[in-house]
Order: sequence, then structure tokens, then C-alpha cells
Amino acid sequence: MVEALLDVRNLTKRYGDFHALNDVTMKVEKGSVHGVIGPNGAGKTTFFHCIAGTTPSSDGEIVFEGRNIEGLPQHDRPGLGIGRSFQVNSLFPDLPVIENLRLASQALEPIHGFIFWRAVVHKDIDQRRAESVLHRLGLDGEEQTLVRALSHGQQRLLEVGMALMAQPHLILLDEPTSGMGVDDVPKMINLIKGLREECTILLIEHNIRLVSEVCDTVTVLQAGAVIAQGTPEHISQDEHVKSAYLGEEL
Amino acid sequence: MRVRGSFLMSLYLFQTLNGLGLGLIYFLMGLGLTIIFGMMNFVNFAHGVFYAAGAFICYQFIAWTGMFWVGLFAGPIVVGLLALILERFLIRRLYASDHAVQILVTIGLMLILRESILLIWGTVPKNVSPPEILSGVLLIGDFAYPKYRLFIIGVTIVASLGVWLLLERTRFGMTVRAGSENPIMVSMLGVNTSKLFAATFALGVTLAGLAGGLMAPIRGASAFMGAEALGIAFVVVVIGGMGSFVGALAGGLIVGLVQSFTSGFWPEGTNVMIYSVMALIIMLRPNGLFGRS
Amino acid sequence: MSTSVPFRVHIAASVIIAAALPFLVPSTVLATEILIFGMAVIGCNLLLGYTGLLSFGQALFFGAGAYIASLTAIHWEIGLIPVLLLTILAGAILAAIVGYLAIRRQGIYFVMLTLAFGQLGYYIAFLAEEITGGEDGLLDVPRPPLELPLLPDMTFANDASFYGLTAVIFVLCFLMMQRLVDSPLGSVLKAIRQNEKRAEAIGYQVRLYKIAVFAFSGAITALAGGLYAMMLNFAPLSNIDIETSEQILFMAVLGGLGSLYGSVIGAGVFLVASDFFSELWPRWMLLLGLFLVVVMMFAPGGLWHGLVVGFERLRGRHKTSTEENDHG
Repeated sequence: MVEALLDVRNLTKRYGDFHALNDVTMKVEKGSVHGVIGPNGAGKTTFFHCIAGTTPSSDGEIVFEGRNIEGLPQHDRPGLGIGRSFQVNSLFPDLPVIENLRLASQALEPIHGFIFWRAVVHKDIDQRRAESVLHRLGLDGEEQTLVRALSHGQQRLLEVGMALMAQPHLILLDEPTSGMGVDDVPKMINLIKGLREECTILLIEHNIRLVSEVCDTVTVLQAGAVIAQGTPEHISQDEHVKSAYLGEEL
Repeated sequence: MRVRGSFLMSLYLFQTLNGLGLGLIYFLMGLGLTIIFGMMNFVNFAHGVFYAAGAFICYQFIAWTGMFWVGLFAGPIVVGLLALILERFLIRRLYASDHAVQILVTIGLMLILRESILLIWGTVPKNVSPPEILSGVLLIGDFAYPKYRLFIIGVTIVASLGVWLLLERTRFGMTVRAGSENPIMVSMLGVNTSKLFAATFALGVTLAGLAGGLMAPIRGASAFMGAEALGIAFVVVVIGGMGSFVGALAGGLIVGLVQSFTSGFWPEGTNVMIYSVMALIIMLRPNGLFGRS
Repeated sequence: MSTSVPFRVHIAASVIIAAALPFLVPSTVLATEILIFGMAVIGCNLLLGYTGLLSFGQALFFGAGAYIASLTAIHWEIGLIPVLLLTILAGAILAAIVGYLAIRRQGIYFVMLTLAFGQLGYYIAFLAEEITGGEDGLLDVPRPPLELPLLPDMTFANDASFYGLTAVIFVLCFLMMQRLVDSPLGSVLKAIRQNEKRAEAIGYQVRLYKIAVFAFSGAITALAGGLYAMMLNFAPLSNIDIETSEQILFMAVLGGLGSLYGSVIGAGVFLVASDFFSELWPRWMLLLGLFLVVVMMFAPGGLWHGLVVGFERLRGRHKTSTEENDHG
């Protein structure tokens, strides 16, 4: 068995009596693309929030690269190699593209963010990395464009780029294609396919074509619990999954 | 020894009653602020000046009619009507704005109203005397307590109960409470939100006007009394938690009692004490005593 | 990265402002006041315009600066620079403490907490009569001499020389703050204003940055307060009251947030207008209130933003560059 990069054990998140996540256990293998699917309200985004530290979990363990990171504050997790994108574009709209990326990589050295006595200079960013990220996003030449001036699809790509800039070992993509036009989706698929060379990917997606095309393993959540796990082919045959999605398009 | 003991007892009773009266006034202030914020997510920095306006209008109607009761009713009503007009032409444009914008516009409004008060009534504060029947003290055994202060306690209890019934037992109140928790849902229920919002704003401001009118015989009417009252109303909601009736009540009573007991041994230090208690509560319970985070 | 306005332009601009101001306004004292409040407004702008923190505690820092500078200047003969350094340090520490406590709450509670701490400071100053002079304020505040090695001591007894001192300090502060907003720290602050959640998610401990910006804001605001006391030879209690906070905020919004030039323009326009109108009509604050409502309803970007847009229109091109992120 390949080493697990992320090992989630009995993860539970309660809001009062409501269990948003109930005893979720799953392993994400190093180098894999792992999809998390499930009907609306299944707890997918809560699951991401717990792994990224956005919301504290109530119970269970989150073991990342052999270390239990449960309880670690959100702002410490990118430094360990966990990057994430958001379901709804969450960028710095009044800053240029390059400054968004630079902020993401600068965050890995928190002390750097307290430099107040000199202006931001070229050496504050790894130029080659920035160029390579921009190139992969198809945003070459847009360095100085304000993020708010980008198209929605470009902003979706930059969402992923922000996470990528911090050289993550594990990247969490929350519905990367959500709200994207049909023409833009292939760009995202290509971007994700290219990513697996350098990091492990955990993604939430509704776009089944994307899931079956890029994922090695799929975990299905329903009502906060894991109901199935396996290869995309295996999952598409699973009766539990079919009934969970009854009435929804699979 | 016995005499000293009973003297202390009556002193404590005296201060408790004072604190209760003040606390209920602060509760009315805080409640007005909190229902406006809860319903419309609107921050009203002009809340204090409406309190001052309540005191002046009360004064004016007493001056015209010679009747305290007319003043006491006119204060909140006129202030409430003023609030309706302001809501119609200014405030309702701001519900969707950033809090910073709301705060700055209402500061502007506060300046306009405060300077208008100074224009109309001059810079010298006005004295308001309570009616004959409420002046002097009430003697129970050898315990004496000013009648007007007892009256304040009574009126504020009745007003608080009234507001509570309004919020708990009427359709309007149910919508206001639902709106405080989830404004979008209320608009989806098909309620006429623009009327509802106007009524809520007017209700909140009316409570400030009532508080000002009630305080006028104790503190007089001064154009600058609003700033202090606004600060205290903030303390009340910060302690109690915004959007909570019980929180505003608890916050108001805590502030009132702290103020009253501090004045017993350190009269100049009451305000320092109030704000220190607030700082302490925030350190211990960052969301206030009854606040939703 | 994209500081398309070179630093030397800021140097030239701030020197020109400081040199030209006495000739543009009716009196040297008014010019001094504008530069002093310009610094206080920059302190407010750092918090509100760059980081998105609306603080009603600015008068606390301003007033505390006035008291610290006055007390050290009255009681210790240590010269100008130590007095001002102590003032700056005290302002930074005080603001860091207020910031640390106030940012425990978010949004509107945060605003109320800054206001409450401001009030607490006011009442403490009011009570501590033996130290602050209470309601009467501190009288006879001296202007300490500037002692520099190899040079004769300089004194600032008349208005012109005190303006010179203020102008030099203003230019230094302005440039340091301009550096700050263009620095890696400044960039994080802008990021926090635009999207606090994302800033935290990519790894910034937002709380620490907020405390840091409070310290900077407190430092420059206290320095302004100290200079103001020296200018008046008097540290009144009103320095520390809520009205001063409101005025500083008003100047910041009037000039435009997110630009240091806007802060100076805001202070200038406000003080010249108040100088003019207060002579004519004691209730001129009514006009101020009306003006504030109108500006906020119809030109929320402030005067500086209006100037920038007007200038761009004149030159016939749209502005897509990035320097002044107007307050959104």
C-alpha cells in the first residue's frame, strides 16, 4: 500500500445536536487525485474546513505526513504544505494578480510580512515560480492586472494558483469548476491533471465528468458520513451511491 | 451597632433602587440600538442624540402646557415621528451599505441634530422639574426614597414589559425577532419589509426618546448628553450581546448597578468603573453574556 | 512590486506640500495645525483605509500623546528628541494594548469597543487631575529645544520656527508611512482589508498584523498629539474626547481612504473650512454634519479619489493601475 499523505480518523464536527461530519475516516494516498462527492449538504465543505483549519473539528484525528494537526490554527497549516482553494472566489480583488500570488508565497515566511521599512521589490517573490504558475493558469502577461478585472473563469484558475504558489504537498480544491463556463472547464481539467506531478490533490466536485476523468479514488459523503469509497468506475456502480443521489443527476 | 447596621441596609437598598432605575433606562437605550441592529443590520450612531432630543421635547411641551405628563408622552412620540421621516428619506438608503458608511452618515446626522438642538434651545442646559405628585420622597418606615426615581423604575418596567409583549406576542414582534435572526427569510415570507424596517427604526428611536424624557427631571436636558448616553448604550450591548433582549436587560442592569454602587464610595469614578467592568467582561467572555458569536 | 510611483516623487511631493502650505492658508498656525492633524489622519487611514479597521480610539492615542509629551517636557529637561521618542513609544504601546483587546471582537462590536476604550481613557484623564490637570488641562507646556551634536541648540519659540520643526517631522513621517503602505507589511494589510478570511487561510496570523498596525497608528497619532500640545503650549482635556476621534475620522473620510495624500487634503480642507465657518456662525458644525452626510451618500471615495478620477478624465484615459485602492 502506498503511504497515506493524509489520514483522517473518526473526524466529527458537531453544531449543537447536528452532526455535520460523523466519524469520517479516509486515507488520501500520496501522489493521488482524490475526489470527494456527495449530495448538497453532505458535509463536503465542512470536511475541507476541518482539514484546512477554518473551523475546528469536534472530535477525531487529522494526520498529515505522520503528524496529528487537529487543533492547529488555520494560519499554521499552509506552512506545513496544505493549500486550498475556495468554492466561491476569495481573492484580493483590488490587488494585481502578481501581488495575490506573492502574498500567498510570502505567507510561508510570516516574519517577511512584518517588513515595513522598504517597498516590495522583485526579489520578494520567486520570479521563476511565479512565471511558471502564471503560465499554467494561462495568465501570462496579466501580472499587473487587478484581480477584479479578470473574468470569472480566470479568477477560478487564480484560486488554484494561490494555493499552488505556496508549494503545497496537499492541495484542497473546493469545487474548482463551480460557476465556470463550459469553455473554461477543460482549462481547469488540464490544470488539475498537470498538478498531480507535484502534489497530492483532494477535491470536491459536482462535475462528474471531471471527477471520472481526473480522480484515482472517490469518497462519497452523505449526511456527514462516508457511504462509499473506491475508484470512479466502482463508485458509479455502487447502489448506496445511486440511492443517495436519487433525484439528483449523477 | 444595630443602628449602623440598619443604616447600611437602607444605604444598600437606596443604591440598589438607584441602580435599578438607571439600569432600566440604559436597558431602554440598549434595546433600541439592538433591535435596529438586529433587524436591519444598521448601526445607529445618532442614537444618543435622539435621547437628548427626547429630553428637550419633553421640556418644551412642559413649557408650553405646564403639564409634565404631556411632555413625557410627547418626547418619545415626536422623536419617533422624526425617526420615521429620517428613515424615509435617508436611513433606508443605507441598509445595504457598509457599517463604516452607516456609522459616518449617522455621525453626520448626529451633528445636524445636536447643532439644531443648540440652535433651537440655546447652549444653556434646561431644567425639568417633576410634577407635584412625584416630587419629594416616599417614606417607608424610616427609609426615604425620592418618588420620581420610583416612578422611573415603574415606567421603565411597564415600558419594558410592553416592548417584550410587543416582541413576543404580536405578529409585528415575531417578524422583528425572525428578522433579527434571518432578515432574508422575512422578506421571503412576503412581509412588506420597507414598512417593517421603518416601524422598527421608529420603535428603537422612540425608546431612546422615552429614556431621554424620563431622565430629564434628574439630569436636565443638554445637547451634549447624547454622547455619554451613546457610549453607555454601546457598553450595554457589548456586555449583553447584540440582538438579545435578555442581554440588553442584563447589560443595562449591570451598568446601572455598577454606576450606583460606585457612586457610593467613589462618585467621580463611576464612568471609569463602568468601562472597566465592560473591558473585564469582554476579556472573560468575548461574545458578551448572551451574545451569539 | 508595482510601485509605479517612484519614491522620489513622494519625497518631492511631501516637501512641496510642507514648503507651500504656509503660503496657501491664512496663518502659519493653521498650516502647523494642518500638518499635525494630517499625521493623525494618516494614523487613522492606516487602520481604516488600508486595513479596514474603523477605530474610535484615535483621540485616546492623540490625547495620550499630548499628555506624555507635555508631562515629559514639563518635568524632565531631556530635549526635544527624547520627548518625542517617548511619546511615540507610549502611543505605540497604548494602541497595541487597545488593539489587542478590541480585535477580540469582530465587526460592529470591534468599533464599539474602540469607542468604549476611548471613553475609558477620557474619564481616566478627567479623574487623574493631579497628572493631567483634569478639566483644566495641562498649562504652560514648553517647546523643548532641539539638541543636536555639533550644532547649537535650536529653540522654537515663534510660530515660523515651530512650523519648520513640524514640517520636517511631517515629511519624515509621511515618507515612512508611504514606505509602510508600499511594503510587504502594507501589502498584507491591504489583503486583510480586502479579504480577511483568505489572508488567514493562506497563512497570515491576521491578529498579529492588526495589533502591529494599531501600534503604528498609535505611534504617529500620539506624535501628532504631542506636537499639538507644544503648538498650543497647552494640553486640553478635549484632545482625548470622542469628538476628536470623530473629527479625525471625518478628515480621513473627507480626503479619501487608502491614500496618504487624501489624508493631508482631508485635514487641510476640514481645518480651513472650520477656521472660516466658525468665525461666521457658532453652529457651523451643522453644515459639517450635512456635508458629511452628502459626502458619504454621494462621494464615498472622498476628495482625493474625486481628484484622481477627474485628473484621469482630463488626460482621457481610464485608470486601471493599482496604486490607490479606493475604499470599496
